[in-house]
Amino acid sequence: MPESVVCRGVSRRYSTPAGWVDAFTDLDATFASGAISAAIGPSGSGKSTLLRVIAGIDPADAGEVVVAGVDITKLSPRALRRHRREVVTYLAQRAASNLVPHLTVREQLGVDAGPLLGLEPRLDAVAGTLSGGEQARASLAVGLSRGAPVVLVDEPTAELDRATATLVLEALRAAADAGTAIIVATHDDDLIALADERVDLTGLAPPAPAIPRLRSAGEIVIAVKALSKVLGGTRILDGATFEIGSGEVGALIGRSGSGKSTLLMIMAGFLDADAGTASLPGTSWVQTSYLPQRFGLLPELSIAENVALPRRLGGRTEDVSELLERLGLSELADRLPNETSIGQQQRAALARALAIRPAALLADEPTSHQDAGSAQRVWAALTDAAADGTACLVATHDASAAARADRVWHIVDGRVG
Amino acid sequence: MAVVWRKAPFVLRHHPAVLAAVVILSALVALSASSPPLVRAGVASDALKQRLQDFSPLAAGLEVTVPAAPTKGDDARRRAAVRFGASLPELGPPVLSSMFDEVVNEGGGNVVLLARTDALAHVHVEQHVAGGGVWIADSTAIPGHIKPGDTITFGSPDEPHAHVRVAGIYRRLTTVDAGTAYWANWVQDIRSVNPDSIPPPPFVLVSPALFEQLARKLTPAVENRFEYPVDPHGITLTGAKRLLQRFDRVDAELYTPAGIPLGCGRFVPCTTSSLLRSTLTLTAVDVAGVSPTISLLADCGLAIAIALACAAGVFLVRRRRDEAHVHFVRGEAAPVFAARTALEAFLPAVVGGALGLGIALAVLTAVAPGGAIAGDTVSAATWRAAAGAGGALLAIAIGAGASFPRRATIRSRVSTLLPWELAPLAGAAALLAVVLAGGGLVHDSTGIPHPRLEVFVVPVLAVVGIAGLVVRGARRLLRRTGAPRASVLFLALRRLGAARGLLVAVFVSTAAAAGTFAYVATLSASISRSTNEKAYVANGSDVQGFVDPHFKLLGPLPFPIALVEIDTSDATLPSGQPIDLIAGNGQALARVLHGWSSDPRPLLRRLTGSNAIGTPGFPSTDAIVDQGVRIPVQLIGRTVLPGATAGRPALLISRTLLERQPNITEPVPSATGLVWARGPSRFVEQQLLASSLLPVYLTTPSHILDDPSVAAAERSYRYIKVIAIAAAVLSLLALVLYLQARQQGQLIASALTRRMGLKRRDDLLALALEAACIVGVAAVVGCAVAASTARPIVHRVDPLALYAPAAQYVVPWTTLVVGIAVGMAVASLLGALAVAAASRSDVAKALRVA
Repeated sequence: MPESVVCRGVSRRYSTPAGWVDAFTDLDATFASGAISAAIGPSGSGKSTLLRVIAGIDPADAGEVVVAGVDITKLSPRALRRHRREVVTYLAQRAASNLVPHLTVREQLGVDAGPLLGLEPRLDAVAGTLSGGEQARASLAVGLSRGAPVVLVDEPTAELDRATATLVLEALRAAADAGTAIIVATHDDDLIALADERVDLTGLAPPAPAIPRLRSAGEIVIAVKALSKVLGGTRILDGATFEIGSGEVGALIGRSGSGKSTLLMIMAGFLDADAGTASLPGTSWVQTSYLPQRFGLLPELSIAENVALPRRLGGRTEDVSELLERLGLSELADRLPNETSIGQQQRAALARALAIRPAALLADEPTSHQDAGSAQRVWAALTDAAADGTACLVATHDASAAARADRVWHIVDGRVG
Repeated sequence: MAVVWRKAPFVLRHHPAVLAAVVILSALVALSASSPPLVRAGVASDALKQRLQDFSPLAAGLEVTVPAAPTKGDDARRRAAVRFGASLPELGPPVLSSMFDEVVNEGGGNVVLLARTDALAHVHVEQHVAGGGVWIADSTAIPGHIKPGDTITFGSPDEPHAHVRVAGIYRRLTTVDAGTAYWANWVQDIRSVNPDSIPPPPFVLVSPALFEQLARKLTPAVENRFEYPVDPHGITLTGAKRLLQRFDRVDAELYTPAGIPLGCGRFVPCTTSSLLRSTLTLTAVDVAGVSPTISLLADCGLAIAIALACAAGVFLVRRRRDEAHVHFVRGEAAPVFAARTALEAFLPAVVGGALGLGIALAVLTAVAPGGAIAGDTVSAATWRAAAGAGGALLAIAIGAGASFPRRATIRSRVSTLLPWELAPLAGAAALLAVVLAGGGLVHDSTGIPHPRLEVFVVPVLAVVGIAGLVVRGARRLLRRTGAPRASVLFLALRRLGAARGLLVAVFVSTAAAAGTFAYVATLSASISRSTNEKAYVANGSDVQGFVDPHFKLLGPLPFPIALVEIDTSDATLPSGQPIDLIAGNGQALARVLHGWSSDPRPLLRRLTGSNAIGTPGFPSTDAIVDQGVRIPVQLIGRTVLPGATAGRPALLISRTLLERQPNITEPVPSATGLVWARGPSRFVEQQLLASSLLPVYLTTPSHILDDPSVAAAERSYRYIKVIAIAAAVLSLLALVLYLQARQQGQLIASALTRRMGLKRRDDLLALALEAACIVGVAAVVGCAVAASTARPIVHRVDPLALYAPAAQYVVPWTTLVVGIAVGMAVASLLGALAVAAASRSDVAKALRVA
């Protein structure tokens, strides 16, 4: 297969208030046309930065980046714009950043629409109204429809359930087979397995802790009974019923759009149910903490201050360094959230949720932006919390969660079973 | 994507905050752009009306004189005059006069029989009886012993004569009456130009009907004067100029069918007169005095508004970061994005432009006297508003293009080491150097200095640079500050410490607005104080009069006075350098003179023996020479002294010292005497005039205080204060919008922190504290920098630079402190309201979108 992208001795560093940080140093990599190449590595290892360098969005501090035979490190701004316009398509990790919010999916696809990735019913929906999973698919569909010879995709399946992710993988495969160079930054095992080539950016990341054994269940802390909800004429939840006891980790597994997030929002008290009840210890953080998909970190506070915020507001002053260490955030303690990767932000939000040992924890897709090692840290933290008596409910599209939870429910079209 | 362009004109409806910002800023730009012609028209109208009042509407209007018209037809001519006036719609109803000279047999005095519209309403009636007849002046009645009800005879018995009943007696018209608006054109008929000449004959006032009846008996010809007053309420400068052109054509019209009925013809040449041309000339001088400042102030407002519009472009991109990112990664160029942004902002800018123009017109209509705005002024303002809205659009596009995502470069890292604040500070330093070197001023036709744009840009640039550095330093400090225990303080400080981009822009613009206000308030306060001092220094005290140094006060006066003699021709220093020598009583002077910045009163109390007080810069000396005699003196201090010639050293000594010199004639033969008196001006003037001092040329401080150039400067500063306040209000609005948008963006975080135990009250307090800190610090920085910058400028914009003392630098601390406190209070209140408004948003919706 011909080489489409060649990186020779590429380095990239950026500044933070804590000093200069190397995203990667002296990287050599080759990405072929007609193939799927996966850049893999733990969260914060520089995968996204590598894609941005190849896309001509970020500069390389050193080395050569040859794309379609042209060293883009030497291009003028005008030529770089042409490079981004005609040679590469870059899809950011945050799906919303790849779509014009006020245009419909159909308007953004244009006339030469490629694979629709199951979005046919939503073609006339404005991008800003799509769910997270729909936005992820729409951004890939729009990106592929541009017909660029190199497509750079950052975590394309992070927010997708397996069924939808399969559609994405098929679309990527088809594009690669058509001669496109697909370069993905991912921690999705299925996507890594699908890839023709892998570039491992793993540095000296510390080993992930082992997941402790789960304790036996105590008294019932979370009790959901016949919960139903209709939104915009669509039945999102249909008589959902389940219970979780103290010290248990429950996994609610379902595809994107199945009603998981809505259920957690109702349980957290941010949305009213049409019918049924959700019994939880209470709505205060110490009673029920909540990790939403958008993490809700305060951007003005450092990672450590965000994590410690529940303790501070609860009048407690204990140190959070142990918690940060457990979730691999120690080195990021003084950084602001926007100076960290999405995966790191997600772990910080989880640390904040666990900061005061809540009676119940509701976690919405807590591993969606985590590599395998970091996901293991997340699960370890959850089981640690359960061991301390917290009743944890994890909503996820990741079927592998079933193996790690004490109780597992599948949610399909709002029905929990 | 063509669809992006197709949808662009209406896309801002999805972003209400941006839409509001674009509309408001376009309105502000249009307001600033359209202001100069409107404000100039307002000032011109104001000045014109004032001048018209000064001259009187009748004098400034048109006067047609028919010197010798046939007696027969007087009534017809008067009716024709009314019709003629109808062809001059800008003028009011005419005042018609018919007159002829005659003799009153009783007393034998000459009189002028006058039939004049409403004349009786403009004289002081002394006696009258019921019934018809003529009204005579008391100066006619007294010599002839004539009383109301008596019959008098006009004309000699051997000539045509007429007997008429006297209906009443009025007080003879005097100089005072001649100064009233009604009699303004009749000064020469009321008093003689030469005081030694015989006064003109008094009027006998009669009704038009009786006048015609008497005239037919007594005279073959009468004189008519038809006066058409200008209506000062409805006239504009443009209208007045047009009217003057019309007046110029009236001369010719008098001999057309329109004028002939008035009595004008080949054998009866008519004349016209009007002071309108003089009125317009003086008005033009008044306007010229403020015009440069108005332009400058409007330019400053415009610059601020354009800068804010540019910031709105940045805001627009920040609020649509995702969309900008999409276009960037797809290779769109910043100029293309900027062009589309301009298209997106076009309709809101049009609405804003119309709004700004409407506000400008409404404000001027409300503030300025009626009829200030002429059609062509509105037209000019409209064009400027349109251009302003276009400029706002361009600024928004530039702001959007500048904040469009761009590829990081190695150079940009280096540039982070060079703070952007250096650029405005360097600009401020360069401009300050220009101003201090004598640049930055323009002199109008009257020679009064007016600051040019650079004078006002100096503080703005300085404030922007310093404010940026303060933010930078404060941010660094706050990030390193340990976490306070109180949650309110902790959150507020951390938010302030993380201030970036738009918040910095808001801070800087708030500082610039506050700085502009402080700068102008300082200049205004300085001029006000300086003018007061100059008024008292030029006038000595509340009333000043010239007196003969030989005259003595024979009786006491109910207010303190001081007499001085001033020798400007015979006194020198021993070196021969001429000086002004002022001699007076120190104690009396200390009681009478007002204090100013270098208060002379403590020194005056020590003005005894050979003690002497010099003006600032007076050379050190131990003697002076007067009339060739060396007089030893001891200089006890220097201060600004009234009565001194500008630019020449003066020395004040005790008059006793002069009197004790053996070979000196006292009073000094060439000396001028001055009397200074303290008390209510009108009362003091009357008493002085009646005193044995017989003072002449009495003046009061109002001669300086009411100087048009001072009024013009004060007016200009008032306008720029309004602009600065408007800019401050907009900055506050921008801050609130920013806080509201930020709070909206942190809806989930905010909801979660509530769950963690942050009380709603504390959340509100933290935001209020943050807003108050931003406004407070920005305003303090802006005021401090601008007030400091004004210090070297005060002397350069002094409208009375030729008067002593030099302009004083006065910072209106109370105004500034109160202003800052009010700004902080409003900001904290609005900040809290922003949180409250944002917290009403649907958290679940935000979570769903995620």
